[in-house]
Amino acid sequence: MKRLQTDREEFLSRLFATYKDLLGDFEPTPAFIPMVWRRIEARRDERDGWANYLVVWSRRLAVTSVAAALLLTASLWLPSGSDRETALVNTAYVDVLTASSMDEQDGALWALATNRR
Amino acid sequence: MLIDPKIIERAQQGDEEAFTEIIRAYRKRILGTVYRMISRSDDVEDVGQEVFSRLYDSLQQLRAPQVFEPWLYRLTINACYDYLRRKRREVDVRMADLSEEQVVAVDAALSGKKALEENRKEGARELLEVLLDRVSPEDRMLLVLKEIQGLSLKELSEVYKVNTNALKVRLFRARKRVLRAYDEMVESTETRMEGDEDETIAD
Repeated sequence: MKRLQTDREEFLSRLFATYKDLLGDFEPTPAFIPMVWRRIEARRDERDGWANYLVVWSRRLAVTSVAAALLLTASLWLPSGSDRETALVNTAYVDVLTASSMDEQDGALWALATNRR
Repeated sequence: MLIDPKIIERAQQGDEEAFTEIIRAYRKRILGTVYRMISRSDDVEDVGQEVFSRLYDSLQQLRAPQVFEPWLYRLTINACYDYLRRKRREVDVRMADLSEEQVVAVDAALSGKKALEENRKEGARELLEVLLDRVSPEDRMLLVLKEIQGLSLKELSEVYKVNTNALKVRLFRARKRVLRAYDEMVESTETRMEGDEDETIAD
Protein backbone atom coordinates (compact mmCIF):
# COMPACT_ATOMS: atom_id res chain seq x y z
CA MET A 1 0.00 0.00 0.00
CA LYS A 2 2.80 2.36 1.01
CA ARG A 3 4.73 1.43 -2.11
CA LEU A 4 1.70 2.09 -4.28
CA GLN A 5 1.44 5.52 -2.67
CA THR A 6 5.14 6.18 -3.31
CA ASP A 7 4.72 5.11 -6.94
CA ARG A 8 1.83 7.48 -7.33
CA GLU A 9 3.83 10.30 -5.76
CA GLU A 10 6.71 9.54 -8.11
CA PHE A 11 4.36 9.47 -11.06
CA LEU A 12 3.03 12.90 -10.12
CA SER A 13 6.55 14.29 -9.70
CA ARG A 14 7.48 12.91 -13.13
CA LEU A 15 4.40 14.45 -14.63
CA PHE A 16 5.33 17.84 -13.19
CA ALA A 17 8.91 17.47 -14.42
CA THR A 18 7.72 16.62 -17.94
CA TYR A 19 5.39 19.58 -17.91
CA LYS A 20 8.20 21.85 -16.75
CA ASP A 21 10.46 20.66 -19.59
CA LEU A 22 7.77 21.07 -22.19
CA LEU A 23 6.74 24.58 -21.32
CA GLY A 24 9.46 26.92 -22.44
CA ASP A 25 9.59 30.64 -21.81
CA PHE A 26 6.65 32.70 -22.90
CA GLU A 27 7.82 35.31 -25.38
CA PRO A 28 5.98 38.59 -24.95
CA THR A 29 4.86 40.43 -28.07
CA PRO A 30 6.50 43.83 -28.82
CA ALA A 31 3.23 45.53 -27.88
CA PHE A 32 3.37 44.22 -24.33
CA ILE A 33 5.04 47.22 -22.65
CA PRO A 34 2.98 49.87 -24.53
CA MET A 35 -0.15 47.91 -23.61
CA VAL A 36 0.82 47.92 -19.94
CA TRP A 37 1.25 51.71 -20.06
CA ARG A 38 -2.04 52.12 -21.88
CA ARG A 39 -3.75 50.16 -19.13
CA ILE A 40 -2.03 52.19 -16.40
CA GLU A 41 -3.05 55.45 -18.06
CA ALA A 42 -6.64 54.29 -18.57
CA ARG A 43 -6.84 53.44 -14.88
CA ARG A 44 -5.24 56.76 -13.92
CA ASP A 45 -7.74 58.68 -16.13
CA GLU A 46 -10.60 56.81 -14.55
CA ARG A 47 -9.30 57.64 -11.08
CA ASP A 48 -8.72 61.29 -12.03
CA GLY A 49 -12.23 61.44 -13.45
CA TRP A 50 -13.62 60.35 -10.12
CA ALA A 51 -11.35 62.72 -8.25
CA ASN A 52 -12.49 65.66 -10.43
CA TYR A 53 -16.10 64.68 -9.94
CA LEU A 54 -15.59 64.63 -6.18
CA VAL A 55 -13.78 68.00 -6.21
CA VAL A 56 -16.57 69.66 -8.23
CA TRP A 57 -19.27 68.32 -5.94
CA SER A 58 -17.32 69.20 -2.79
CA ARG A 59 -16.96 72.78 -4.04
CA ARG A 60 -20.68 72.99 -4.81
CA LEU A 61 -21.48 71.64 -1.38
CA ALA A 62 -19.13 74.15 0.28
CA VAL A 63 -20.69 77.11 -1.61
CA THR A 64 -24.19 75.95 -0.71
CA SER A 65 -23.22 75.55 2.96
CA VAL A 66 -21.69 79.06 3.12
CA ALA A 67 -24.77 80.58 1.46
CA ALA A 68 -27.07 78.74 3.86
CA ALA A 69 -25.01 79.89 6.85
CA LEU A 70 -25.14 83.52 5.66
CA LEU A 71 -28.90 83.36 5.18
CA LEU A 72 -29.35 81.87 8.63
CA THR A 73 -27.19 84.57 10.22
CA ALA A 74 -29.04 87.31 8.36
CA SER A 75 -32.39 85.95 9.45
CA LEU A 76 -31.25 85.97 13.07
CA TRP A 77 -29.86 89.50 13.01
CA LEU A 78 -32.48 91.28 10.97
CA PRO A 79 -35.93 91.72 12.57
CA SER A 80 -38.53 89.75 10.72
CA GLY A 81 -41.73 91.25 9.19
CA SER A 82 -44.01 89.77 11.87
CA ASP A 83 -41.86 91.35 14.64
CA ARG A 84 -42.26 94.75 13.02
CA GLU A 85 -46.03 94.30 12.71
CA THR A 86 -46.26 93.25 16.36
CA ALA A 87 -44.25 96.31 17.31
CA LEU A 88 -46.55 98.50 15.26
CA VAL A 89 -49.65 96.94 16.73
CA ASN A 90 -48.24 97.16 20.26
CA THR A 91 -47.22 100.81 19.83
CA ALA A 92 -50.62 101.72 18.44
CA TYR A 93 -52.42 99.91 21.26
CA VAL A 94 -50.34 101.65 23.92
CA ASP A 95 -50.90 104.94 22.22
CA VAL A 96 -54.62 104.31 22.07
CA LEU A 97 -54.68 103.36 25.73
CA THR A 98 -52.65 106.42 26.67
CA ALA A 99 -54.81 108.62 24.54
CA SER A 100 -58.02 107.20 25.89
CA SER A 101 -56.84 107.43 29.47
CA MET A 102 -55.76 110.98 28.80
CA ASP A 103 -59.16 111.66 27.23
CA GLU A 104 -60.86 110.21 30.27
CA GLN A 105 -58.65 112.29 32.56
CA ASP A 106 -59.33 115.41 30.54
CA GLY A 107 -63.10 114.63 30.56
CA ALA A 108 -63.08 114.16 34.32
CA LEU A 109 -61.15 117.39 34.85
CA TRP A 110 -63.52 119.27 32.50
CA ALA A 111 -66.57 117.83 34.38
CA LEU A 112 -65.08 118.84 37.74
CA ALA A 113 -64.37 122.35 36.52
CA THR A 114 -67.87 122.72 35.09
CA ASN A 115 -69.45 121.53 38.35
CA ARG A 116 -67.41 124.10 40.35
CA ARG A 117 -68.67 126.81 38.12
CA MET B 1 17.02 39.86 -8.02
CA LEU B 2 16.80 40.67 -11.68
CA ILE B 3 17.05 44.40 -11.11
CA ASP B 4 19.00 46.94 -9.06
CA PRO B 5 17.04 47.95 -5.91
CA LYS B 6 17.82 51.60 -6.76
CA ILE B 7 15.67 51.28 -9.90
CA ILE B 8 12.80 50.06 -7.74
CA GLU B 9 13.27 53.05 -5.44
CA ARG B 10 13.23 55.38 -8.44
CA ALA B 11 10.05 53.77 -9.71
CA GLN B 12 8.50 54.21 -6.26
CA GLN B 13 9.18 57.93 -6.57
CA GLY B 14 7.23 58.02 -9.82
CA ASP B 15 10.04 57.62 -12.37
CA GLU B 16 8.27 56.09 -15.37
CA GLU B 17 11.52 55.12 -17.11
CA ALA B 18 12.49 53.10 -14.05
CA PHE B 19 9.12 51.39 -14.06
CA THR B 20 9.53 50.47 -17.72
CA GLU B 21 12.89 48.93 -16.81
CA ILE B 22 11.16 46.82 -14.17
CA ILE B 23 8.62 45.58 -16.73
CA ARG B 24 11.42 44.81 -19.18
CA ALA B 25 13.35 42.85 -16.57
CA TYR B 26 10.47 40.82 -15.18
CA ARG B 27 8.02 40.41 -18.07
CA LYS B 28 9.37 37.03 -19.24
CA ARG B 29 9.39 35.56 -15.76
CA ILE B 30 5.93 36.86 -14.94
CA LEU B 31 4.43 35.80 -18.26
CA GLY B 32 6.03 32.35 -17.84
CA THR B 33 4.48 32.04 -14.38
CA VAL B 34 1.11 33.22 -15.63
CA TYR B 35 1.29 30.80 -18.56
CA ARG B 36 1.96 27.87 -16.24
CA MET B 37 -0.78 28.95 -13.88
CA ILE B 38 -3.58 29.56 -16.35
CA SER B 39 -2.46 27.31 -19.27
CA ARG B 40 -4.27 29.46 -21.80
CA SER B 41 -1.81 31.21 -24.05
CA ASP B 42 -4.42 33.59 -25.50
CA ASP B 43 -4.95 35.28 -22.16
CA VAL B 44 -1.38 35.26 -20.81
CA GLU B 45 -0.50 38.77 -21.96
CA ASP B 46 -3.77 40.17 -20.71
CA VAL B 47 -3.19 38.76 -17.21
CA GLY B 48 0.48 39.86 -17.36
CA GLN B 49 -0.55 43.43 -18.18
CA GLU B 50 -2.94 43.35 -15.25
CA VAL B 51 -0.09 42.24 -12.96
CA PHE B 52 2.14 45.14 -14.00
CA SER B 53 -0.63 47.72 -13.81
CA ARG B 54 -1.46 46.51 -10.28
CA LEU B 55 2.24 46.73 -9.49
CA TYR B 56 2.27 50.35 -10.65
CA ASP B 57 -0.69 51.17 -8.41
CA SER B 58 0.73 49.49 -5.32
CA LEU B 59 4.48 50.06 -5.68
CA GLN B 60 4.48 52.93 -3.18
CA GLN B 61 3.20 50.58 -0.48
CA LEU B 62 6.29 48.39 -0.83
CA ARG B 63 8.33 48.82 2.35
CA ALA B 64 11.75 47.72 1.08
CA PRO B 65 13.04 46.90 -2.43
CA GLN B 66 14.45 43.64 -1.01
CA VAL B 67 10.96 42.17 -0.72
CA PHE B 68 10.05 43.22 -4.24
CA GLU B 69 10.07 39.74 -5.79
CA PRO B 70 7.76 38.04 -3.26
CA TRP B 71 5.53 41.13 -3.63
CA LEU B 72 5.44 40.74 -7.41
CA TYR B 73 4.72 37.02 -7.09
CA ARG B 74 1.86 37.79 -4.75
CA LEU B 75 0.39 40.23 -7.27
CA THR B 76 0.82 37.60 -9.99
CA ILE B 77 -0.92 34.98 -7.87
CA ASN B 78 -3.80 37.34 -7.13
CA ALA B 79 -4.25 38.29 -10.78
CA CYS B 80 -4.15 34.61 -11.84
CA TYR B 81 -6.50 33.68 -9.05
CA ASP B 82 -9.02 36.31 -10.19
CA TYR B 83 -8.68 35.08 -13.77
CA LEU B 84 -9.10 31.41 -12.84
CA ARG B 85 -12.12 32.12 -10.68
CA ARG B 86 -13.70 34.02 -13.55
CA LYS B 87 -12.87 31.30 -16.06
CA ARG B 88 -13.90 28.46 -13.77
CA ARG B 89 -17.44 29.67 -14.01
CA GLU B 90 -17.24 29.64 -17.80
CA VAL B 91 -15.34 26.41 -18.45
CA ASP B 92 -16.17 23.09 -16.94
CA VAL B 93 -13.79 20.36 -18.02
CA ARG B 94 -15.55 17.06 -18.32
CA MET B 95 -13.83 13.72 -18.33
CA ALA B 96 -15.75 12.68 -21.41
CA ASP B 97 -13.99 15.46 -23.32
CA LEU B 98 -10.50 14.02 -22.84
CA SER B 99 -8.52 13.61 -25.99
CA GLU B 100 -7.20 10.32 -27.25
CA GLU B 101 -3.65 11.41 -26.29
CA GLN B 102 -4.66 11.92 -22.71
CA VAL B 103 -6.30 8.52 -22.63
CA VAL B 104 -3.05 7.04 -24.00
CA ALA B 105 -1.02 8.89 -21.35
CA VAL B 106 -3.22 7.53 -18.60
CA ASP B 107 -3.04 4.08 -20.14
CA ALA B 108 0.77 4.26 -20.23
CA ALA B 109 0.89 5.26 -16.60
CA LEU B 110 -1.49 2.49 -15.66
CA SER B 111 0.45 -0.20 -17.49
CA GLY B 112 3.52 0.66 -15.43
CA LYS B 113 5.67 2.23 -18.15
CA LYS B 114 7.85 4.40 -16.01
CA ALA B 115 9.25 7.03 -18.31
CA LEU B 116 6.82 8.95 -20.40
CA GLU B 117 8.03 8.60 -23.96
CA GLU B 118 8.77 11.59 -26.11
CA ASN B 119 5.74 11.14 -28.33
CA ARG B 120 3.54 10.92 -25.28
CA LYS B 121 4.89 14.02 -23.61
CA GLU B 122 2.31 16.23 -25.23
CA GLY B 123 -0.37 13.93 -23.90
CA ALA B 124 1.22 14.16 -20.45
CA ARG B 125 1.12 17.94 -20.66
CA GLU B 126 -2.56 17.88 -21.51
CA LEU B 127 -3.14 15.36 -18.77
CA LEU B 128 -1.54 17.57 -16.14
CA GLU B 129 -3.48 20.58 -17.38
CA VAL B 130 -6.73 18.66 -17.03
CA LEU B 131 -5.71 17.53 -13.54
CA LEU B 132 -4.79 21.07 -12.51
CA ASP B 133 -8.10 22.28 -13.89
CA ARG B 134 -9.85 19.89 -11.54
CA VAL B 135 -8.32 21.22 -8.33
CA SER B 136 -8.97 24.61 -6.75
CA PRO B 137 -7.13 27.71 -8.06
CA GLU B 138 -5.31 27.89 -4.69
CA ASP B 139 -3.96 24.34 -5.01
CA ARG B 140 -3.10 24.87 -8.63
CA MET B 141 -1.08 28.01 -8.01
CA LEU B 142 0.79 26.57 -5.08
CA LEU B 143 1.74 23.49 -7.09
CA VAL B 144 2.79 25.53 -10.10
CA LEU B 145 5.02 27.74 -7.99
CA LYS B 146 6.62 24.82 -6.18
CA GLU B 147 6.76 22.02 -8.73
CA ILE B 148 7.06 23.92 -11.99
CA GLN B 149 8.49 27.33 -11.19
CA GLY B 150 10.79 25.67 -8.67
CA LEU B 151 10.37 28.15 -5.81
CA SER B 152 11.90 26.95 -2.54
CA LEU B 153 9.84 26.57 0.61
CA LYS B 154 11.54 29.66 2.02
CA GLU B 155 10.63 31.73 -1.03
CA LEU B 156 7.09 30.40 -0.91
CA SER B 157 6.79 31.26 2.77
CA GLU B 158 7.69 34.87 1.87
CA VAL B 159 5.09 34.92 -0.88
CA TYR B 160 2.31 33.35 1.18
CA LYS B 161 3.41 34.85 4.53
CA VAL B 162 3.08 31.50 6.33
CA ASN B 163 5.71 29.27 7.89
CA THR B 164 7.29 26.40 5.99
CA ASN B 165 5.56 23.69 8.02
CA ALA B 166 2.15 25.07 7.13
CA LEU B 167 3.28 25.18 3.50
CA LYS B 168 4.39 21.56 3.59
CA VAL B 169 0.96 20.53 4.81
CA ARG B 170 -0.71 22.62 2.12
CA LEU B 171 1.51 21.12 -0.56
CA PHE B 172 0.87 17.60 0.66
CA ARG B 173 -2.87 18.14 0.57
CA ALA B 174 -2.73 19.80 -2.86
CA ARG B 175 -0.77 16.85 -4.28
CA LYS B 176 -3.23 14.45 -2.73
CA ARG B 177 -6.12 16.26 -4.37
CA VAL B 178 -4.39 16.09 -7.77
CA LEU B 179 -3.91 12.36 -7.28
CA ARG B 180 -7.55 11.99 -6.35
CA ALA B 181 -8.53 13.84 -9.52
CA TYR B 182 -6.22 11.47 -11.39
CA ASP B 183 -7.93 8.42 -9.81
CA GLU B 184 -11.32 9.70 -10.87
CA MET B 185 -9.98 10.27 -14.36
CA VAL B 186 -8.52 6.78 -14.58
CA GLU B 187 -11.77 5.30 -13.39
CA SER B 188 -13.72 7.23 -15.96
CA THR B 189 -11.27 6.24 -18.74
CA GLU B 190 -11.42 2.57 -17.78
CA THR B 191 -15.20 2.63 -17.78
CA ARG B 192 -15.12 4.21 -21.21
CA MET B 193 -12.66 1.68 -22.57
CA GLU B 194 -14.73 -1.20 -21.22
CA GLY B 195 -17.79 0.29 -22.85
CA ASP B 196 -15.96 0.53 -26.18
CA GLU B 197 -14.81 -3.11 -25.90
CA ASP B 198 -18.36 -4.26 -25.19
CA GLU B 199 -19.57 -2.37 -28.24
CA THR B 200 -16.84 -4.00 -30.42
CA ILE B 201 -17.79 -7.49 -29.17
CA ALA B 202 -21.45 -6.77 -29.81
CA ASP B 203 -20.59 -5.71 -33.38
